[in-house]
Amino acid sequence: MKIKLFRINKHILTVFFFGIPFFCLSQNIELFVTVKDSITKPIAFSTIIVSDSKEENNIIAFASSNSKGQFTLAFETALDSLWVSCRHISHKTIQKKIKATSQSINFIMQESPDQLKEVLVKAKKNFTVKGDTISYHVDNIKSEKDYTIEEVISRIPGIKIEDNGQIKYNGKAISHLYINGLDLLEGGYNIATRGIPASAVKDIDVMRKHNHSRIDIGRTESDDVALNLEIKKGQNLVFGTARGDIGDPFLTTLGETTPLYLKDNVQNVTSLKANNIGKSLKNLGESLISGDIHLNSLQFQTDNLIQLPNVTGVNLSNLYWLDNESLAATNNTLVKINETDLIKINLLYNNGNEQISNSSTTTFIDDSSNNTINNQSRNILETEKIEIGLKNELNRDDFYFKNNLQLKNIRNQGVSNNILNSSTINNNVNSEQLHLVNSSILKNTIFDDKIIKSGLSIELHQNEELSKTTPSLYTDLLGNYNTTTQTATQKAFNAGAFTTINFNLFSMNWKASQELSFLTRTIETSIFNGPNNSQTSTFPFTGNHDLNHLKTITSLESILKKDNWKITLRPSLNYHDIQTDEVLNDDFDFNKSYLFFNPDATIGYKWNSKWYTGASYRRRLSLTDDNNLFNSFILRSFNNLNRFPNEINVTRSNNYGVFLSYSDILNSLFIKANLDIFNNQSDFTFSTSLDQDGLLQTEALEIPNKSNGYKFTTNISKTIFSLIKLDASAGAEQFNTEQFFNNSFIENQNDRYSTTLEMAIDQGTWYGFSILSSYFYNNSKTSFSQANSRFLSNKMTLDLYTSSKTRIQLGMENINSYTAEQNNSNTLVNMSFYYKPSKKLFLRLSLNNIFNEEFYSTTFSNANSISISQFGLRPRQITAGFNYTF
Amino acid sequence: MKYLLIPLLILTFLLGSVNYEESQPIERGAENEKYYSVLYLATFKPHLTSKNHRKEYANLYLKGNTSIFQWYGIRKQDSIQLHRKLENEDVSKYYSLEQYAIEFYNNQLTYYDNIGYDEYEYKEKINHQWKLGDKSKNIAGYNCKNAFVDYGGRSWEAWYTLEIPINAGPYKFKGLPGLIIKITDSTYSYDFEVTEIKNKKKLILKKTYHEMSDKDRYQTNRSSFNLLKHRFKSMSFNERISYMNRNKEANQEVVFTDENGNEASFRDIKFSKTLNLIEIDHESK
Repeated sequence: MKIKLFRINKHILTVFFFGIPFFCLSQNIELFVTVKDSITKPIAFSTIIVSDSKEENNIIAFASSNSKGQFTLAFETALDSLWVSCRHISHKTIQKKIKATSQSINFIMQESPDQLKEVLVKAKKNFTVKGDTISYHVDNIKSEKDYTIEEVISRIPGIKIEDNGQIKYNGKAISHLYINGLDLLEGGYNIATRGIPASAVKDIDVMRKHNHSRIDIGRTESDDVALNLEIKKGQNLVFGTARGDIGDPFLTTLGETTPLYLKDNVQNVTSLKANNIGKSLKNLGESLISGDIHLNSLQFQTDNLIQLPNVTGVNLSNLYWLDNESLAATNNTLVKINETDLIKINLLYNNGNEQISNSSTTTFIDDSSNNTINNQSRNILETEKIEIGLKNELNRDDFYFKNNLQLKNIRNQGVSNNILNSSTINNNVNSEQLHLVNSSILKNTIFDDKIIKSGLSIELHQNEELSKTTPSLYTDLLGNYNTTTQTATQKAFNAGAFTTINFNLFSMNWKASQELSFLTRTIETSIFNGPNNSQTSTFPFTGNHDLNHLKTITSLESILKKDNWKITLRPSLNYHDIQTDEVLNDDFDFNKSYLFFNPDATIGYKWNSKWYTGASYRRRLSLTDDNNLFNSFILRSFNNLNRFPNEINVTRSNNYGVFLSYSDILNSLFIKANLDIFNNQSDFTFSTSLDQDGLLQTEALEIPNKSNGYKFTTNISKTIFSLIKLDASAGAEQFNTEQFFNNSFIENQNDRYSTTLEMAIDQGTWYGFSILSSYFYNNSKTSFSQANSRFLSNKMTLDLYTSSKTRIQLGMENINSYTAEQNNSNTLVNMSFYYKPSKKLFLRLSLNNIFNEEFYSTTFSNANSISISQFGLRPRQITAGFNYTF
Repeated sequence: MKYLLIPLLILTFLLGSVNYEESQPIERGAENEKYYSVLYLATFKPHLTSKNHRKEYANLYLKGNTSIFQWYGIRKQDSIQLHRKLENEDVSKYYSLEQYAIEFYNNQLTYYDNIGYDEYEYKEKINHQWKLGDKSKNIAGYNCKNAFVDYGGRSWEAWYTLEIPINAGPYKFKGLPGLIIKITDSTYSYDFEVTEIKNKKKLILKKTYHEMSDKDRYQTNRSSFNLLKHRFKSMSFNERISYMNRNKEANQEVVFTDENGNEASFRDIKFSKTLNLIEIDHESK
């Protein structure tokens, strides 16, 4: 092959006067070139360039060698000497200066794999857009220090990962996390994201407008976002991560391993974790997805009636304040029977002992005095959870069916030791919950390809709760003995079904849905001071309450799209038939029916592919939550005696909203802003009284109650130069309420403002840096008082890549709280040294709470109260550990 | 509980390490050369009236003097069809506006494309008369030099790099002393730019799935094919349906509307005046 080059002289005069002599001198040259390697084997497809200079600014001729490593170059030149270079992608470039005469040239090339590597890494592409799917290439977006895939996911523009592992894309929780296209873990995906090594994943696919069920594809519009982890081929048969730490105070330990077995037809993930290092495991395996909206609406809320002791600190990472001994084991198996049918089995065992110390001062202000509660507490909560699930899914182009059978047993043992306004109070809470649920979803097509979706849910629930408080409380009411005992037993059967159908009519998309559910439930409560309830066996100290609640919701959603406009109407009719029977008091027996009309409308305008704005209106009429539909006393927490209304509380709420969003994937810029203005009116007003011992008593008065306010939130997320991620959010809200406190009527105005800035830089240089700063301002106003509190927190991490194998990480968390009375500032510092002897292993030496701080403080104000809390911290800790990828 | 950690850690180290490997088909080409995968981002206006340029990825797989250039989505669809039937989800996920594939062996290419339900094939000798320019600039981290060529009724400016001495490029372009990193036509209607270059252990350098068998494929030449493609792409929706069902007894009745539900207007739109194909030299014939 030969190609000739002709150069064009720009100035005709120059050609005329000076060109002719050169043309006269120019000569035809032929070069016969042979290219071989060091063992004289011909090299095909090498490139030869003839140029006038070493820099090859002007190429005179070029050609490629044939399969025998030979070629001939013929050209004309007036030069005396020439530069000839020979290149091949996997050999070192050779350059020679030759006389400008016809001749044979032999090139012997040396192999150079390094040169090849250098060339290949230059062009990097972070993501690929394929329709509604954006594939992020893990090797290109991951930082040197990223170990699990969760850390890489958090670098994707628009994605935020909550502390419990929930992944949100543009503020919305993802609907599925697939591994190689299979949804093994469903809502418990944090097992995978925190267990799969970043190095094992090729691509992370962000799938927008995602439909999980194949029958919906092309038939149903979806706003869901799902992620898929495409695992690299050539992984071990079993692969995953393991981590271990051991240290002082003796014996501080952590051990974690997540082995995965992924084949085409079988997937299995096991997760074994244990630690006493301040890392809570209680949320492991818990669902992080919202699930089917209709099925959720049918299901029973399994809340406890008696609050468990609080073991959660705020505004600071767990590892600084949580004293724990946690163990968790999960196993999830997916068996693919064929391309469309699969079975999933999940097992979960969780055992945790969590503790925290807290000293708080809460001041309540009324029109005549200030009432202060001082409480020093040491709370311990032991939880044991066992969960077994069996799921069966048939996901076909024309049919979808899923059945989910779950059995859950949760046992809690809580101890709260308190010094409340100088009195020592010991509170023990035990509860055991058993919950069995079977739910099914079926999708089919009828009437010429319209999708009909049906669901069925059946639940059995039992919860036994016991609270014992020493010494006895509320003695005016209950008598004076050693102990206050509160028992509560709930037994419930709940069954529900729904059907929805999507169809098109008058150029609009319609969705009609009908839900029906029936709950029958018994609550038995008893509160007494002394060995038994013989003194207070009557209502309202003892209650035996039956509830039958029939609920239907009929809604008709219609979507009209015209040009760039989208109008969505979602009115619904809610019917409730409630029958209650208090065995011990006929005054609380009633049978009432309610029919509510709840309109809901949204209008949106799409300016272009990036900007979307809109407005919405929603009116909701709702009833007292089923869990609060009983009238006997209940000691919600040891210092809060509660009595719900002896009537049904109807709440009417109106919400007016405007929203704006901007989404530019290519430039990784996302902006979101929402403003909601709301007003509520309910039939009851809550009245709280506080006595000198710091005990609260709450009851409902049949006086209409009004509240109103607004909430504004905005968020900006931007990724700059591929690896600097910037998230900024700001919020403002106002909430005006009415309440009775110590028999005085109080109108409260609560204003809250917050800003958060998050920035992460890691450009593969010698350092990486991340910062998260949050500022909150609360102002609570009544007609006779005003209290405000401010709070600033900063969380910073600096990574210094000291060599290709070593890294030093410095971490700092700083919190500052300000009230009119006092200011507090606490700074916690940690440091780790990492050494990476191989790609699969790194070793770690960590020092936590270097300055051995003992407490940290936070503040919060709400309505007519302001509180300052001081939490105990874990002592200084030194650990040595490893992370291993297998 | 602390003592539970010890067996946990031991378990970690006992986990298996059996590798599995995917089998690879055999390809043709020079044995000593390595495989390279080059991904181009194509930015183009399929219609002169398009407000925005369309962006799609295309793969160039090569080894020595053998290569295949194919749209990313269609390559994926072909791969799937080696194992199973395409599903709706696959088609929407791997949609591509164009469907052609170009196989090169030395300087001869074989071009495959679908028109309606039919698959066409033609062969073409390529000998671009490149004019080397004197400009250089850095594109995607490579020092590139420019060169010019006329092909298919358009004038193209290519940017190639001596840093990657591979004689290859996107679409039908090759013949420069380095890989073509970027090439743009003078009307800025078509542009291909490298976004990723990788070496691979093995690649299949042929189109892996054909709608029609070798003997049933329509053999044609570039000029006739371009004329046919231009005519087909110029048809209204109704005309295309009729054309695709021309050999069947009755036409299939397909109801298809635009997003506003306007059936008639959408079905009858003709694109002949706005069509902006990559090769336009058939128009003078």
